[in-house]
Amino acid sequence: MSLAKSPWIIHVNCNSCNGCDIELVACLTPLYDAERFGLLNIGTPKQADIMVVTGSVNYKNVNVLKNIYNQIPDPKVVLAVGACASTGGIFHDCYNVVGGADQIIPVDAYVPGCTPRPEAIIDGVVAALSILENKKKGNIRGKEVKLTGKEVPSNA
Amino acid sequence: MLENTIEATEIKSSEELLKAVEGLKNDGYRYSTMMCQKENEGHDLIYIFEKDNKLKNLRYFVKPGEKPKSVSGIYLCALLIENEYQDLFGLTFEGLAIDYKGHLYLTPNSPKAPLA
Amino acid sequence: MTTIIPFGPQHPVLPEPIALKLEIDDDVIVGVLPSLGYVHRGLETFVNTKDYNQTTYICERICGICSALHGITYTRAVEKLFDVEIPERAQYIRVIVGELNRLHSHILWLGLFADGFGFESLFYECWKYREGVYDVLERITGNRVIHSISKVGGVTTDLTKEYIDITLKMLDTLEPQIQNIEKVFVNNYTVKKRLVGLATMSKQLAYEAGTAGPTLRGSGNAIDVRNTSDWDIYKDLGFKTCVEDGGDCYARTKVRINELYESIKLIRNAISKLPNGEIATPVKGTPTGEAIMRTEQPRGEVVYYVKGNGTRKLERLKIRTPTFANIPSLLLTLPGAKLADVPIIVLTIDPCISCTER
Repeated sequence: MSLAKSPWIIHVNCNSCNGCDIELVACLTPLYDAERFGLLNIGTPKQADIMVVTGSVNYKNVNVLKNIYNQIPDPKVVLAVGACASTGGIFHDCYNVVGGADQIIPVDAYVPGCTPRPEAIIDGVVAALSILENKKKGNIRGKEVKLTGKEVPSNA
Repeated sequence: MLENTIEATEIKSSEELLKAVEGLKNDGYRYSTMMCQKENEGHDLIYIFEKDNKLKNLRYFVKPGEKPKSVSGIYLCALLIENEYQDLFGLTFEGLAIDYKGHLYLTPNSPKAPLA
Repeated sequence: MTTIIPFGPQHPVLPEPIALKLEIDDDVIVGVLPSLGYVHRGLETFVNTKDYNQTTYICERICGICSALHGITYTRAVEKLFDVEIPERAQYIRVIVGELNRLHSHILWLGLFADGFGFESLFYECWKYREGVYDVLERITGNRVIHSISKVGGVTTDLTKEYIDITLKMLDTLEPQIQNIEKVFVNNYTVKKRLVGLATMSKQLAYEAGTAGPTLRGSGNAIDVRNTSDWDIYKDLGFKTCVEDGGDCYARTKVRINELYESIKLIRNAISKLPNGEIATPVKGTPTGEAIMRTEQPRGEVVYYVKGNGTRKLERLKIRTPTFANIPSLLLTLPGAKLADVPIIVLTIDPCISCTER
């Protein structure tokens, strides 16, 4: 009945330095064991409820991010993990960086830190669960994200 | 002029470069990497080779507008770094084994030749 | 009739985005074209806006797995520009933290690799053991992932008696745990069936393809920067290069497992020889000239090139990371392999894409 009892997550690595990625995987391994919340890391967006984004967005992966977001069925929640995914972080003024994930897709919750501890990531996921429940109750649907053209590579 | 520079053999022309690289390969050197930087309107390339944990460097100056010759025909592993400099510096290497045409890292929408 | 199959950028076995265009005939790969750029940020331009001390923190964020060794290599390169000798105690602390970094990186890779060939419980086992190394690193440096141990002129944190005790205690528990997982990786019938004879590179081929690290040493080439005059301290610690002759995925796995024992030995020796004294010398002035510095990272040899022009900011920073050198070897090993083996072959070079593209 309750969606929040077994949320499946899909992990999207945009521009991350690996730090947040391995901490996210560490969340799922025995010591932190996020599976006790019913959490499962899944490879396909069609089966996912929560999208976890790590790393800032660049001109090449902006399409990957958009495509994965659009494929996740409603209700869906986006969680930005780490400073880079939230704002662009230390890399915000690099020439190839567009910015945080919220420049492209709507983000529901942010986990700050460089890198966030696994406890903080689990906390973020748990916060996302109540948003997920609310979205389900209110039948709130994510709009399909279209790129405005500025960030679209012409050969995409 | 800078002091404390790394030791490197100066190479004058691209034919001489290919000859020198081929000679190094026959001597059993391994291709390590290549450095590139802007200098006097042109580009300064430093090729780095390694054998028995000793480095051997070749320095080659690319004049403005010149198209340097690729060494990926001799060392295949040179193709990635040469493609990287095509992206970042707007250079064109002639005779690349796999040519990404300046789109190894960058898309048509990204900044062009950001380090140039 | 060949078909092109895209592998990645979003793929279940890859934590990081890399795309390979695989040209296949039936089930056999005949051609490979890697497509990079999904993680390219453009860090090398940062040196134009930040001074040489601040760049240390940028270099640590090139990669979250070998972060300490990136910082150490950068600071050693800048020290070579300044021509300063850092205190001996600082050098030993760098070796200890660097080897702890290698320990966690290799165990992490073993886990991901086990996941890659479908051995889920082994994956969890490896990552459980890895947390012990992380606990120690967190106690010493204050952060689990980005360690920031090295600064220009020395190290930021001293290794007190308390830290030494927990490190030694952790090593004593870790060693039997590694023996535990070694048994599975080396002897298990199923694991051997998947790995032996897969993607074999001859000694000559691996050498000429310019590979680095365990990929190179797994093919019988005894090349390790820790053995050279570039970093004298390793000779005093009795370092031995780990080499395997097989040249296949199994040999590369064995090299990494043997390096775990080697790292444990190095840390123990470094702690027993740890000299007293200062942990940093003040470095003043502005760097001029060029320098090349090489260090052995978990994935292989990293080459830093720095150039200073007499200002607080460096003029050029160029980093050749080990995965950058190892990716061309995929062009040689993948053709002829089966499509189902691609994830394993890609994983055996221990790909770190954020290092590669910076």
